Amino acid sequence: MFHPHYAITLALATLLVTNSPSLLAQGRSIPVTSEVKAEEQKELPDLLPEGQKYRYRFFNGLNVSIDILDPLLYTFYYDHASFEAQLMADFHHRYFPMAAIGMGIADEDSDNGLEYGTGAKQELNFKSDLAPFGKIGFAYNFAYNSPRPYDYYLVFLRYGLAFNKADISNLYYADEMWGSLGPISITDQEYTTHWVELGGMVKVQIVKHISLGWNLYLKVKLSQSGTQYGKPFFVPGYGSNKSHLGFSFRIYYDIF
Amino acid sequence: MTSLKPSDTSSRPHSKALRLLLVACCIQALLCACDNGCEQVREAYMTTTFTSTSGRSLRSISLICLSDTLGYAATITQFADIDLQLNPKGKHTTMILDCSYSDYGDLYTSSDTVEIDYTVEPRFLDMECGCTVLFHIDDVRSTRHLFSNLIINDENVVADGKSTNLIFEY
Repeated sequence: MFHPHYAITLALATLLVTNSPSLLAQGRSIPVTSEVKAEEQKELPDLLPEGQKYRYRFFNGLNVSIDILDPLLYTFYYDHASFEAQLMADFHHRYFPMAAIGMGIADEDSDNGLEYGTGAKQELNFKSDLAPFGKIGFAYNFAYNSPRPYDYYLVFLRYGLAFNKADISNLYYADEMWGSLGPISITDQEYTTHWVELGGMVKVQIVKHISLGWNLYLKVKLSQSGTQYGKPFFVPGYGSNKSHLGFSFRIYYDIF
Repeated sequence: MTSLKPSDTSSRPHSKALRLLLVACCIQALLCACDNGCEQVREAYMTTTFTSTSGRSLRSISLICLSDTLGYAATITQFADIDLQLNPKGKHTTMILDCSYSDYGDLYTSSDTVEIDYTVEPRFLDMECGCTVLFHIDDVRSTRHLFSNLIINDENVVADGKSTNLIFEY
């Protein structure tokens, strides 16, 4: 099935591709990578003085970031979202401990309805009120002595914990022999979920104090309680259970 | 050649932002394209198997399943397992098993009645598949004309269940 959101995203990507050359060509010749690198090394040479392990000082500041992709999708397409704010510290440009808190919400109907043996279509509903989650972890920069201090390419590991309560309504069960059973409701289900995220992170400075970046990661549930009547469709901070891949687009502000 | 400085690379914030956004859009589009429909089994079957402990050879089984709302029959001519669909609207079912078996070369027929008490619990799968049900076998009673023993191997009848629920020994 051709996903409507897939079409919107592709259209946006196409627009960006077609506009990029004109944006790049505005009034300046485009430098090649080797030229830029050579110029950078004049100011920040690759080689450090002997005995010096780190190019950057121990503490390089704090930044806060928010995920803007989930709220954007929630506004225009999805009926579930996690709103997350993260604080990250920078030690030697190498170690980046981080902590995040946020809230998640879901009130989603099944996309196309469910077709049963009876031919009837029903739409089930999964509703989870605004509920909290937290994450803690660290990122690691392999190129910690890079002469370009404002662009990061990191790997990270985070542990997440979330509590939410959900109502699932308008469920139907049917088989060929006995026909349809329903509607069934599963209410007041309280879930506690623990998971880990392992992935890569890009952070690029756009203007002073402001950076953009994205995270692409694998998410794995460690444990989940309250699943007597099935696993929840949505967990705050973790997202939907459709995929083990997570993605976020973030805006960063360097506090100092 | 145009003189370049490192600061030149950071003086095009819109370009960097656009490239970052472009990659993000592509990744998000790929993730959205991975959305699939329902691929899970929703129907739950109770699996039974027949084991000889007396040296008799089971030739065929004719099954009549009665329930509080509907009934159905199935004939199994091989020494096969029986997958039975329990009624999700009920709490009790009665099976009449008409069996033919050979014992030291002679052919016999026998009939046993099996009564099963169960409870039904819904299980949410996901947004595409909706729900399935779990049948919990509370109690099983049987006459002992052919079958000498009846074992509840797994009391939970679930969709896509791999284990055998009931074992009939004869």
